[in-house]
Amino acid sequence: MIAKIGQLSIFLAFISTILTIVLAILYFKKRDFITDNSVKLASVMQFIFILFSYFVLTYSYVISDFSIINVWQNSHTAKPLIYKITGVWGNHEGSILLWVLILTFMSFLISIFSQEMNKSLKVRVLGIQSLVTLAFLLFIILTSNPFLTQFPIPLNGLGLNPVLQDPGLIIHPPFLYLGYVGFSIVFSFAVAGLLENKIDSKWARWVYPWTMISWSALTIGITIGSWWAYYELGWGGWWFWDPVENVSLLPWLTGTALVHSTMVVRNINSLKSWTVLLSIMTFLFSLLGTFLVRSGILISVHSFAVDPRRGLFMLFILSFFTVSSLIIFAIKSPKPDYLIEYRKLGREGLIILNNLLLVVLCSVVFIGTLYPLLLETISGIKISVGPPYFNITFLPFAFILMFFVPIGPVLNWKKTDLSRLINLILLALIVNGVLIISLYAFIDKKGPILAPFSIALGLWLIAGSLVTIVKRFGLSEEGYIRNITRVRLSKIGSNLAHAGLGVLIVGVTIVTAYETKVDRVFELNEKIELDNFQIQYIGIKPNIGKNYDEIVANFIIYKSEDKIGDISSTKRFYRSQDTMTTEAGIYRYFFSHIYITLSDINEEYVVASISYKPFVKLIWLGGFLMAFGGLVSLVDNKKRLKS
Amino acid sequence: MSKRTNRIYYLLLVFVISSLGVLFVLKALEDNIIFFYTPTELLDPKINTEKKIRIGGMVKENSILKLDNLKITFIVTDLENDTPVSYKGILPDLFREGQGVVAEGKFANGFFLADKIIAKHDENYMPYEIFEKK
Repeated sequence: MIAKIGQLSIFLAFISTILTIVLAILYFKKRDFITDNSVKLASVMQFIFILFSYFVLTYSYVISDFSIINVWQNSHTAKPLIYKITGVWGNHEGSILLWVLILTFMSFLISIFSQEMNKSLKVRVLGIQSLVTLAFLLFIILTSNPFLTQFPIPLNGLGLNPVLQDPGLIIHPPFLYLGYVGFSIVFSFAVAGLLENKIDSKWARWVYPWTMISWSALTIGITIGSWWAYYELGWGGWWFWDPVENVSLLPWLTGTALVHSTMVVRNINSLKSWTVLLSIMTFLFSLLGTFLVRSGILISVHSFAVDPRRGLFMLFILSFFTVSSLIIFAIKSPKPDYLIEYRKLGREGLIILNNLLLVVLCSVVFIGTLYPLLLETISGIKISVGPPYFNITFLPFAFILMFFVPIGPVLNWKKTDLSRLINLILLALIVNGVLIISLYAFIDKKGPILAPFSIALGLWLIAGSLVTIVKRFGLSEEGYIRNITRVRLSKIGSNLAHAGLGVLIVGVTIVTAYETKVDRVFELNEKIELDNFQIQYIGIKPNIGKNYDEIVANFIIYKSEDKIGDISSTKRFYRSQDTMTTEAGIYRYFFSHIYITLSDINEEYVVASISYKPFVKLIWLGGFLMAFGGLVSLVDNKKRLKS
Repeated sequence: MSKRTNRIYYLLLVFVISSLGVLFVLKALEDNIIFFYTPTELLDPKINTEKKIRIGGMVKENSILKLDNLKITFIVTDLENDTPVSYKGILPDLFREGQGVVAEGKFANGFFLADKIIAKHDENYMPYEIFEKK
């Protein structure tokens, strides 16, 4: 019964979506009869119906209604409530419903807010967004219906994959999807702007907040994913250059380029066709990512079970939007603008460099990730492209980019004399040179020869951005302290994001270069040296959880013979799935971690792997700081929209 | 400075950066490709077993042997042919007899010495070749 209601609600959303598209088309034919309000209303209906069906599905999970196949396959009565609620997006059907929920949520926001926006642009945006929604609703109805029922009703469900019963599941997918799908509205804005022939600084002002929000959400999503893969044994750590990780990086890289190029359009009405192309490509990469992950054709640690029909349909959606949007772009793209003169390279000049490098980075990742698929399709040979490829190709360009990042924000738009730019580059060289030399003198550990270069660049990013922020708050040219309310938050935000990148780079480099690790048998009460710490195994303790039994192995950590803390790592046995998981033990020492995972376990000894990961926490702190900076930069955007 | 020369400078910059990129990528791809084989494909004498490769299949029933000091041997099978594998280190939780596995490493004395064992998110996951035969 309840399944029928959910299904009906999806169907009504489908009707509302078609209605939105029809009304949007009619709006441009017969403006007298159809107002933009009817288009907005139909868009709001889409969201309400999808939201309702989403609630119905969640409710079915909460009450464990096993007459619904999807609930039976992925839930169990003994599963904790939080995983019943979030388990909805822990499987294919539910996650696609979440995807559509966010798609329609974007339409909803456009309909309700942005009152001042040009009406015909708004109707076009809603129409195009509804086309995307329609494609995914068809996908749900034809291949991934979450409300299929079965009879007889099983007594209990099969349960959620234990590896997914983790706080990571609660936050990682929604943020990742908010990022992916957020770029859909940017895509709709781009296509709508092309059709309207109105790609200008006003268009950029409207689209900028959506770009920034999506980019920040994607940044948070990837950061949390990295944290989750770090403490889940067997997922390859915080970044593995795994295909599924890489495809999430593609829209992030073009999205980062987009966030910058949109500012050029907004401020000096230049770089317009390029920005539109980036808007389109970013969403196409989001679609590509969803297709590759959901079709299961990637050979990856993070892959899910396969259903070929779904892959085919998704490929169809991807091709349709790729071809149609690129054709519209080819016909309608604004004439290239050569307003920028290289002699007066201002801030826009460095943003062009930033965009070029980000696109190169994106291509490098794209080739490394898709080349194996191409080769297998053509010749049947199976290969994988590992971390060394990405380290060699990605890092040099990333380093060049980072060198210039702190310079960009201090340049003015359109007018910078060359000598100032040269001075700044000299300053960057000197600062980096001094940092590199002092790092070589200061670091007494053995590590890769290039590590200090990378750390220096990270510190340069942090220092450069902080100096710019302090200057903004600091003395004005007339010599008195600036009124705080007059400080432009957008400037603070962008510099915070740049500093975040620096923090991330420092963390990544230090932990990669200077991690120490021992894999071995630990006898009871034996003390083992690791870096400056001593670790002692002191025995095991059994424990019973809600839907699992576990054995906890306890360790004590000493530093110069003083006990500084204890730490435990756990082997969990999930009863309903007959599956074992390992919970890594993590001891936090400032920004560093001592990280323990278990293999064999019994009273007298454990087989464990213990690593000291210096400054590893900076990786995620940096990621969050970047996203936070992005959001801060939006705070005073509203004022600017009105002016 | 005329518009035309301006344009040429831009195109040159784009060209230089992108060709640098392509050069890097091709060189790096050449050196860092890891081939993937099933035990049956490994019988092909043309395969270069000196290089690092990945092998995939199922962990054969009753083939796991735990030796001292984190050492373990097991057999990877594609239900037609077998490859013995030895590994030293911590195993992922989803490593079990009768389940799909991917190992990365090199051959030495008839054994495949794995330095990495890769697990999957999904306990029902199975390499495609095995799935076809079942």
